[in-house]
Amino acid sequence: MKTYYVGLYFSFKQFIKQIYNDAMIFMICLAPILYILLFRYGLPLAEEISIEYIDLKVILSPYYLVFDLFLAVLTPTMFSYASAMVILGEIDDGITNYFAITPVGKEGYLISRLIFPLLFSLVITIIAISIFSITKILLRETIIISIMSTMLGYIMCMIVIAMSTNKVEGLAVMKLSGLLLIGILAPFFIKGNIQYMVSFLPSLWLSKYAVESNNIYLILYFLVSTLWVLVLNKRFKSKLL
Amino acid sequence: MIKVSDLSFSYTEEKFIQDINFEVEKGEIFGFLGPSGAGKSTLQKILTGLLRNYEGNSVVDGVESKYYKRNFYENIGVDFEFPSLYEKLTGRENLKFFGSLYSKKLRNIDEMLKMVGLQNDGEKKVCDYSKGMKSRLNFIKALLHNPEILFLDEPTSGLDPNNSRDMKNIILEEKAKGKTIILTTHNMVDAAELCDRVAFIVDGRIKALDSPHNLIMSKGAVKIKYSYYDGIEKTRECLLKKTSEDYKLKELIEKNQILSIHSSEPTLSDIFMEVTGRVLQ
Ligand SMILES: Nc1ncnc2c1ncn2[C@@H]1O[C@H](COP(=O)(O)OP(=O)(O)OP(=O)(O)O)[C@@H](O)[C@H]1O
Ligand SMILES: [Mg+2]
Repeated sequence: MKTYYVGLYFSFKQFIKQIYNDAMIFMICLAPILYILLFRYGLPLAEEISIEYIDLKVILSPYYLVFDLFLAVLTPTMFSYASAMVILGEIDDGITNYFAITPVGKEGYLISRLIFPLLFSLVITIIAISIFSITKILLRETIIISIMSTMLGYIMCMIVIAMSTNKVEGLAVMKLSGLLLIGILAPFFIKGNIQYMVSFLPSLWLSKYAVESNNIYLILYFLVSTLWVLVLNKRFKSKLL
Repeated sequence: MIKVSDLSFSYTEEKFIQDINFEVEKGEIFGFLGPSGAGKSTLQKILTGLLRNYEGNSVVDGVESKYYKRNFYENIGVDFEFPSLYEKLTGRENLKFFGSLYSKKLRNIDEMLKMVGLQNDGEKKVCDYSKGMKSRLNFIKALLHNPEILFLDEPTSGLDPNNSRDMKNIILEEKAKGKTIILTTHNMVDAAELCDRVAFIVDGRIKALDSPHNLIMSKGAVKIKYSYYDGIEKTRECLLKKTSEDYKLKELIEKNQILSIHSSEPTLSDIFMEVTGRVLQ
């Protein structure tokens, strides 16, 4: 039994190695750091500099939560993209199937390629929100939002793998799938009921929950997300078998 | 070691693999022979636990294929028909990585590379390998953890005669060590040489199953072919068992007029055609 975990470790190590050796995937993983530098430190600086001409702080402060929400979804999304790209490469090379006849198994493969990165990004997101968020988010909300955004990351990964057959297509789908995050903006920029036009996006409910902390949005979030998972599941699995 | 009974399976609604029954002893090389699309690889996928929704029984080393546990794979080596290698890693890195998934003591990587003539290519990336080099690397990858049971899906396809010879010798060495081997091939000559027994598979069914020798002896008849001069050189054939009925032959023998005479045994290919009505290759 112990050896299984050793196998998992080597499988995960191989995953990390591939990310490290692929400049594009590596940059994807660094995106959250760039974002933090830009908005957490660049924003106050911009506000300070601009104060003589216009009061940027007054203009921007209603949207601070938007910055924080992107902070929350960025790590799971980017890590999921990295997972998806590595997996697509491995499907191409016939590796994914080969795992099924090793002691690590298809299941161990998926644990090292999906579960580990997601858990990892969950932890990072909780820490990132706690340290870098501009608005004050309570610990309870921080954890709930982090779990929500991790689940969103999983959906993004499913989309990329389900909709593409190789890394090149994967890259295109990845860029498009970024649009699914615009639900975050809706409660801030679309007034009234029109914002519910994007009800099908989990990111809308994540954003609604962050704004109002109403549990009904939490439930809607999980309902809509589960629907996405169910719809994507068959195609996603067929790519991995 | 392997016992398959009343096995059936299909990918779709339509029946495909049907009524498969056979047993393989420890230390035996068992061949799957059949035309493209016959279901050889599918059968291997069932035996290796990749396809689990079959009916009937497939028991390998005492375990039903549906219920293989992870540990089971410590003793299974599979060389799939298509290479499964990290293209961006070197040959050696590939072997190291796949080896790390097993808890067993691995065989020496340098020796293995040397065995298949890749001793100078271990540090090259797999994407710079030729097709045959990939096949060879993929083959030793299956042997790396010294498995008791080997599933080889067309291991010699795409290899030049020398490399093919080397690989066949390695397969025979494994057999000598007591390993059980399932070998899928289109190549009748290889099958006749390597396999203790072969199963002819067509359209998802076994059409014949025996040792290559028995198949040839029981189904095929030895012929003799002779030539003589009659204005121009002519050749004729007759069955070895019926030479006494061939009056031309008798006459030629009595007159010492035979130019050449050969007996020819049928090949496994001939038998395959006779039994299944299909041509291989
Ligand atoms: N995943 C799948 N889904 C549906 N049909 C499949 C699948 N895999 C294989 N088949 C079909 O099953 C049949 C047998 O395929 P299989 O790979 O077992 O043949 P084979 O005997 O190994 O042939 P070859 O000698 O060309 O390798 C083919 O008609 C193939 O189209
Ligand atoms: Mg095949």
